[in-house]
Amino acid sequence: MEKDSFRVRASRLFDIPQDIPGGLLHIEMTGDREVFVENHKGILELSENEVILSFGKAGKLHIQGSNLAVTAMNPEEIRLSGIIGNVAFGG
Amino acid sequence: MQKIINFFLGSVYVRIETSYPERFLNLCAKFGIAFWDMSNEAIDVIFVRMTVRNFRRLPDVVRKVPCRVHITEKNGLPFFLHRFRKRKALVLGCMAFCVAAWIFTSFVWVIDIEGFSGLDTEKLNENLRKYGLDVGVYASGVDVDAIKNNILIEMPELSYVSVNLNGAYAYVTVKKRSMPPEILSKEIPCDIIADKDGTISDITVKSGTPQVKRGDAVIKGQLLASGYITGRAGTTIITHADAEIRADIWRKVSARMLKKYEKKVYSGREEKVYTIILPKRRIKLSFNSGISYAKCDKIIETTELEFFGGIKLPLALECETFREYKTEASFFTDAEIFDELGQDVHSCLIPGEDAVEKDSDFVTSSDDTFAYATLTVKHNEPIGEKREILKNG
Repeated sequence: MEKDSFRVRASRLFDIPQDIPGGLLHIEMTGDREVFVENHKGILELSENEVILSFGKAGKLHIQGSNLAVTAMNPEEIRLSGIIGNVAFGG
Repeated sequence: MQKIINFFLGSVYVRIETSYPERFLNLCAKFGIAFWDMSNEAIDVIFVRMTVRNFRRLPDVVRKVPCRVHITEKNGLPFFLHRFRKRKALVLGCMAFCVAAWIFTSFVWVIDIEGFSGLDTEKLNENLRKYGLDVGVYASGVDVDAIKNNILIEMPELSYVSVNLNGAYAYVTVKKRSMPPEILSKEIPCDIIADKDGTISDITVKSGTPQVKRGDAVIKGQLLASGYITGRAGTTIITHADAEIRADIWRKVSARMLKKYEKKVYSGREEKVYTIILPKRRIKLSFNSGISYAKCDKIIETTELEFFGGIKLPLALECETFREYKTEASFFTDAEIFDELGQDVHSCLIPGEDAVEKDSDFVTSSDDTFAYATLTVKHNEPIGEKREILKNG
């Protein structure tokens, strides 16, 4: 198992949410209609059925579904809408 | 809220044809170019909506990603206003309207006075004018505090004055001071005398010697309770007489009316004259010199003009209707006289007053011109006023 970074361990020690100092992904979903991802590092692939987001060295986030579209985006946050079927982490 | 902001900033719907849509979007995010409403048309064609300001920054992205950008839709206020760029008169008119609205709302056009029942309106208006608040004055030049202070000094009958300026309106709120009643000091010896004629119905003397009893008829000025008290030993002391005395007061109420009257017969002809009323001016809209009718009714209807949403304008439209009539001599019937005079005499009654006679007594004058009605009424009310006992008398 991969060892947690110093920031993640420190945030766990001080009871701080780990997404803030650790740079981990923060994902919020509204049913299967919308997904909001914080701390991403950009879009790697974009199509109606699949969106792959990078979150740095840690890996990728695969969002699969239909009619997927980017509702809003800035360097740190992205909001996707459509019919979301599957959200998975992958290398 | 965001939709309103976007409407004011203006937005464009852009078609982007590129082999690298992901790269395009990542660069947009990197340069801080916000977009929304993204949709895919094909694998290499996307549509996004962005503000005009962000669209102007798109060349930074386009230089790095091979793509073709095409605007398909323009929305928002900047594009709406852009349509009118050649209609200079319209733009000037709008600007003139805004300037005129700003200038006119800088003046006081309406003075609304509240809480002024039973006080001298003319005196208050005069004082407001004197200290700088009048229709047509520049609102910023009105010294509200000075007006309040000076009016309170000038009008001691007021206990409170507030002046609020709201656009073209000046709201003046006043409150009447409750003056304490003049009470004869309890230390001063006095008698109680009748201040009107009547029959005593109830008498309770708290201090002093009663001079009348229940059922006695008294006349105005008669002593009801004396301030002199004679003790058992025959000594007399002078005190401040105090008593609650009520009496039945009788009075006759009468009314009269002319039996003959002039009946109006309208000819059906009428003329209307319209006038615009400005705060200090009247502009007549009719050009005819005058009304030619010998006898006519004049009916005035004034409509205060309001802007959309009930904002009052300092304008009013007055419509004077002149309705011609001729007169014919007529006489009231006995039944009409009976009804009319009966209502007149009963309308003279004070609340709580009882009519002793059920019906009014009707008589007709000797020359048959007038009809009279009289009614005797009874009212139970407090009687008596205090009169100081002078030491020399």
